[in-house]
Amino acid sequence: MSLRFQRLLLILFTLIIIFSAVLLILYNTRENVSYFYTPSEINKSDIKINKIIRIGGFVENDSFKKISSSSFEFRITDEKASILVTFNGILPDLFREGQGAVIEGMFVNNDVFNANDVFAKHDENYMPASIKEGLKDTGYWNKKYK
Amino acid sequence: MISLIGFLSLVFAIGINFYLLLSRYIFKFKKQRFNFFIRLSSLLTLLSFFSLMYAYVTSDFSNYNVFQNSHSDKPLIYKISGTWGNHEGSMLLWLCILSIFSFFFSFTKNIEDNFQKLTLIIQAFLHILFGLFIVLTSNPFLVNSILVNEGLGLNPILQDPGLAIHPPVLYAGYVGYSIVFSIAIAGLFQNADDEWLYVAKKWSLISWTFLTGGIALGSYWAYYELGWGGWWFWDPVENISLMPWIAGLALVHSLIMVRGEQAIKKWIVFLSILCFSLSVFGTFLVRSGILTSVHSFAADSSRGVFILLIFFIITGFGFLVFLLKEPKKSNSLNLLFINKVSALVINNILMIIATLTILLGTIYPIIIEVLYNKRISVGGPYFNSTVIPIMIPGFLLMSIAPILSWQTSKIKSSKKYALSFIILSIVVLLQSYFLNFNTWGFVGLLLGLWIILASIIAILTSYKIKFTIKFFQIINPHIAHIGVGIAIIGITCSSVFQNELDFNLSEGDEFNVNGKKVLFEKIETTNETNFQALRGKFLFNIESNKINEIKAGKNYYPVSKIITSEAGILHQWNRDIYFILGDQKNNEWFVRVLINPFVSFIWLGVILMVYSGLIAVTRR
Amino acid sequence: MNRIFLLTPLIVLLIVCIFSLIYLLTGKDPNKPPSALLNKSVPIFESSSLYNSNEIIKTKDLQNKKTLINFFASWCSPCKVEHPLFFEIRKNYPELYLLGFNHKDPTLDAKKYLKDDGNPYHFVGVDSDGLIALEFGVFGLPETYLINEEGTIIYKFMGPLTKDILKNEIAPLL
Repeated sequence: MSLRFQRLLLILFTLIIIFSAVLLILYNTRENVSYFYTPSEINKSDIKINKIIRIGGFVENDSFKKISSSSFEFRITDEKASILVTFNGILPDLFREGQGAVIEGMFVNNDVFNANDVFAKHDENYMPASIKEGLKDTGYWNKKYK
Repeated sequence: MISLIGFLSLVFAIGINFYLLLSRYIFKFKKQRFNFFIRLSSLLTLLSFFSLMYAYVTSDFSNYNVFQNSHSDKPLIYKISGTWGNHEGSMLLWLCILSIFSFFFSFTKNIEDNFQKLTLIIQAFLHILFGLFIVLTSNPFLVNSILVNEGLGLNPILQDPGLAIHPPVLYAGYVGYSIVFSIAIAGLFQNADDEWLYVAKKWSLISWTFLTGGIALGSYWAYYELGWGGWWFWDPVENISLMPWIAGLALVHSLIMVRGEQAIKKWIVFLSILCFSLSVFGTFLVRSGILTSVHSFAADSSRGVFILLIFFIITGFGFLVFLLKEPKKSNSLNLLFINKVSALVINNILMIIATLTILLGTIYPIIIEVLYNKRISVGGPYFNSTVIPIMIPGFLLMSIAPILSWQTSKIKSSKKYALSFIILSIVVLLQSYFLNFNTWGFVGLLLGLWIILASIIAILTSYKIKFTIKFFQIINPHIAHIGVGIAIIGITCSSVFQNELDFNLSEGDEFNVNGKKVLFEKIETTNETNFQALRGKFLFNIESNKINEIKAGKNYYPVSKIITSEAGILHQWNRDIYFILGDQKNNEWFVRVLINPFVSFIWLGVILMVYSGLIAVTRR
Repeated sequence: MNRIFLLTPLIVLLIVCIFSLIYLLTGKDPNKPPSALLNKSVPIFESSSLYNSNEIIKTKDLQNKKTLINFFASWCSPCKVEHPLFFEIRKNYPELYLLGFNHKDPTLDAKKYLKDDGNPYHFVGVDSDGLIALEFGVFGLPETYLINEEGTIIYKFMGPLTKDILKNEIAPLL
């Protein structure tokens, strides 16, 4: 192989890599990015079933149902609209009714949102309320807290 | 009192650095005098940091920062680590490490005096920027306005040995690049000869090794503390540490070319500036609260604007000097289709593309929100399907790259490699086919094994095996690459072949995990010094005579009223069995068991990389 | 050609900085959940005084004056941090009505807390079961709401108040 040919091959190879990287990035910024909505921003008409999105809001009061120890149902609301959410798995420690939560998942039909992940925030200074009461409910925490 | 000492010494240190900065133009110092001042300012910064630490250790709640983040009931180690477990303290730690690097750099021999001086002046400039940031926006020495005898406590999620040492190590990596940055800028200004490249190489290796260790510690912490069974989440906070890591890797590799006298100085300078810029950018993103992240830190936009300004000044200054004082033309590259130079060039191209891909994914949500007012999150799927494919050619190449020749494009005993690659592919294909086939699993296993195998063949065929320090220095690149191979296997197996089992159990129930009987013995609560623990006790493999006990549960911290999950992990060499205790209803507990194969390989791979980083530092 | 290569990093830097700056200055914070009740009417509530259970406060009582509602508890340590600020507020804005809600606290603890640290509130309402907090959508303690003369929530802050927030965000609304 001549020197010139070797270099040509190398440049070609590099160009292919760069080109495919750009293609990958373009494709993935369209496909693998999840949008964040609040419940009232979700339009019933343009719900895309089986597309992963995130929803942020509050867990609606009196909507939380424990179906079993690992499957839950609750509504997420921003006081203007609310969405029924089902979730299988382990809820974060800070998850409570009336508190903020961000959920990631997809609509399984026009009314039900199936969450893959539920997030609640940890913060440096911020104290979550209602924890005391939640603790009493589990019945296993034997000390009195003040 | 101690807060005052700390604050004053910090201000003095900044003052001295101002003086040094002016000294370049106004007063000319002798080398010794200059070094004395540099060291004095380093010691003062150190004193300032230790004053804060002292306030933490003695629980001096008249200091507002201590009051906010500490509690007298906390164990000593977390009082110490509490020093950098908050925004103000961590910025002081950053500054402290910066001056430690300057301190050691002032002792470096074999470099020209003026060059060393100029480098240290640029360091002094950086010290002033970050010092002013601390004094003006995040002073850790504020006096508490109310009289108290108890503090508010440290976030319990930060009360963990892994997280106690993670930030200092990570910061040593980030800040280490400041020296590389200063060296590169000084090199541009003085248009010095190539000697500085060797100095830069040493410091960039040190930083990279620290950064590797820091990232791994953080990842290991996330693995056992967050309780989600994963060790990498493509969380923005993780991404921003990965960017300088990859760019630093490109830098370390491009500096190899110095040895073959093939270096493109321009490119090395560019990478040096880039590494430190990315480090500062990372700090900006974390500290401004601009990112949505599970590691969320308290947000404050005025701080954010200040750090953004610092980032802009440093990066802008760096690239402006780069533009104006462009290095003189260096020798043209001996590029062949496959020799060491072309391999290193491809490596660099791939790494830069990967860095840019991560950068784009990390700032994409910011751009979209500003332009369209829509919130998006870019998570694992994006990064997995861009970064990994981009890196694959690099992984293929790295197996043989260290033995390629500088001059010709012939590979010694190339037939052996080709043959072993084919055999390996068939073996892995068969193995994958008969177990559950998965494309990514197949690719990952093949790449990992191929890197290890080829490196071993290369060691065996190219060098005489002796057990001397010299020998280990020579085969060091191969060792580093074997580390990468092992880590790839660990990463592939633990993510692709992870197995998840869910159970609803009452106390006393028995259940099966991978054919082994497990007993859910009981739930117990205990009172520890600063928290209350709820634990489910599991006995693994009860039918054998070697029973393992695993405890998984939650901790409750009364001072800050926070609950944390504590996963129970049974470590075995070929897999981790990971227990998570969930909710309960009618005395039935939800238990999730994750089987993560070969997780230990990830940590082993990282240890090898850190080891080879250390060995490489010792090599001239 | 060479110049363009050297200029690229500066251009990228500029773009990144401009976007980040706009983002920071528009005050977008992805970490905080949307503020549900902002610009809406105060929810209907009724609560008795901590010191005298016959003394009742209702939504109607808040009409025709600006009110600052603060949720606190004796067990909440950040509340202790912001506590002295309320004395300052009371001194500087005598017109403003300060309403404190004691959240899920035993009465004795609450009284002791207000005795030790002082009581800046005009009225301390009891919210022992946390129902009022639920109505307001309280996310975590402490939390502060500003209500105008028409009974609309015009400002909400989560976490302990600071002097800066008081000066820059609350004072202009008063």
